[in-house]
Amino acid sequence: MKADKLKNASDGRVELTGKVIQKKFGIGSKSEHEAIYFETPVGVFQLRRLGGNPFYDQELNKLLGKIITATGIVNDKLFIATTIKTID
Amino acid sequence: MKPVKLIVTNKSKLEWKYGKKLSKINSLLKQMQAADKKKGLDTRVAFVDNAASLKSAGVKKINTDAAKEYKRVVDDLYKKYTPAYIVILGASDIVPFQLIDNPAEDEDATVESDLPYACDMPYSKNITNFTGPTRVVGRIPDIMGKQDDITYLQKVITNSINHMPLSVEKYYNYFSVTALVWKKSTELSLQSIFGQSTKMTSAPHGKIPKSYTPYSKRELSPLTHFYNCHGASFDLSFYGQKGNQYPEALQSSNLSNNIAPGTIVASECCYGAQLFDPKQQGLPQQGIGTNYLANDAIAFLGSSTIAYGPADSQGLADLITQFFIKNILTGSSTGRAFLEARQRFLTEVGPDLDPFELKTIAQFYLLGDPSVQPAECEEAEVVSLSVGTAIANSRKNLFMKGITLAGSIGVTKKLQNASPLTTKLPLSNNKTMNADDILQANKFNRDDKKAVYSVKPKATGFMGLQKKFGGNNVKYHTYVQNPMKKIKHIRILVVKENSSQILGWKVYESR
Repeated sequence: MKADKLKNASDGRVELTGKVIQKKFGIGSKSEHEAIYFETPVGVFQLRRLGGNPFYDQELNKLLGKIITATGIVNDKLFIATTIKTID
Repeated sequence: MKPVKLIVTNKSKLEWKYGKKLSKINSLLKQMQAADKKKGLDTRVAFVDNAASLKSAGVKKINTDAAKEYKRVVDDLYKKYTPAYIVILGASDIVPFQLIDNPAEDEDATVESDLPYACDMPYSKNITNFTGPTRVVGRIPDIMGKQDDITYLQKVITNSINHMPLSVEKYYNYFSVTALVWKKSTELSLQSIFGQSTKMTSAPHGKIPKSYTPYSKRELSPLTHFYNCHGASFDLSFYGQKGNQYPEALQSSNLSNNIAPGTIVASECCYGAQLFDPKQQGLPQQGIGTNYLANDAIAFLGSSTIAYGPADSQGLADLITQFFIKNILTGSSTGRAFLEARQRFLTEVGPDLDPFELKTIAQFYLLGDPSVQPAECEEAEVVSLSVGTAIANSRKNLFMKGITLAGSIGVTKKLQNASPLTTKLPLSNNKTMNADDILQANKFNRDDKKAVYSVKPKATGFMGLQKKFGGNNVKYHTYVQNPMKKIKHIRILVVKENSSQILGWKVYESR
């Protein structure tokens, strides 16, 4: 399944499994920060929690390096998670 | 002849969104036409998808639901009416933004923009074709996605109808929030606009708060609001910064019933004016830009995408937002204030634009009726029958400025092969600085991600003179520090050179 087809899921939500990593977002911009990313078989997405602070989310930071399954909304290269489960 | 205000929208999409309530929208538009008539404006409504509505203008309706077709119809209507104001009615699911290929190398693939609607050049996704804005354009947005009622549009249109220019002194009273790390830059902006920055507040202000403390109605009561904060896509807040902490600087919910009628807003924040469907995103309410208008603001200037500006000086987003407010303070309509801000920005940073300057001009748009004049003053652009000629003259001047800019701003293009920076910067004491010196002085190195852009001057007949002024064969070398390295202060270094020497450098951001 390609990333651009993810949006077409019937209820707008998709479930993906992958690894939580960290890298810079918006380098040199007004929103530059260490962001959390979600490395999945269909692509790498910036990972945020619905209602979470997009710039620093302690709950997501705890997941760094872990494999998770997350349900959420995909907007291009952004994955806004509504549920997250840690694998193993 | 009365100045024309042209409202461009899409009938079938409004019908899809509002169903039978479309008739109420038509009534609202008639109210606006009647109110505008009293102000000396000939307001016309054009449904881009409806042949009958375009027949009198001799313009063909859109063939397909493609941005190119919307641009074509707006251009054809402009040629017919040469309107003083173009109002795009509806969010991007009614009349789409024009998608510009992002000239800066960042996370945004494209830039949602209304700039092409303000330019006389034909459809293109290349920003270098839109460096000569001539038209006054603004967008009255609605809420994205299907709606149960027309409450939002009714509010925004009614506020636009009812607003009467207020004393300019009232707009000198401002509310401003800055991320603490950008305090210096925001102070400079406020001093440039208002002559002082004493009312600025920072986020955080003192200790990092455990939770968001809403601003009171009294705190939010000034008529000019200015933000220099962080912003994120599909989000309901702006954010401050101190070190690695990003406390909320403003929550969208804080705006409800707290904004004074007639408020104008300029936001430098990334995604500050992004339009999105809150339901689709699982969010409880609208984003900050549209929510400001729902709560009696009359104009919101902001960015669709990631925005840029230096931390301690002035550039990019700082400039376009402050020019906009300055023009409001001289009595301009919001649309004219924005067109003049775009033109001044291009004049001051041109004729050679780097990729970040190009992105800035594309990404900022105006939400709200562009014909609304917030403040009155002696030089005001009063819309009345008696000054119809004055508006025409003013429009002609803006048109000529735009045409001049279009003919003078060079075409910036990324080079496939990043050529090395071998020229030197001459200093006053017969010494020089080479690329390594500049990199070192700015704490960059040659391992940082590099790209090279060339600027080809427009053929104006002054090629020889342009060359003498150092404007020919200009290249920009951009360095972006490695994103995987955890360096605290990361910046973009832009070095400008021509064929014989380095002309200077700029550093965008240090966050």
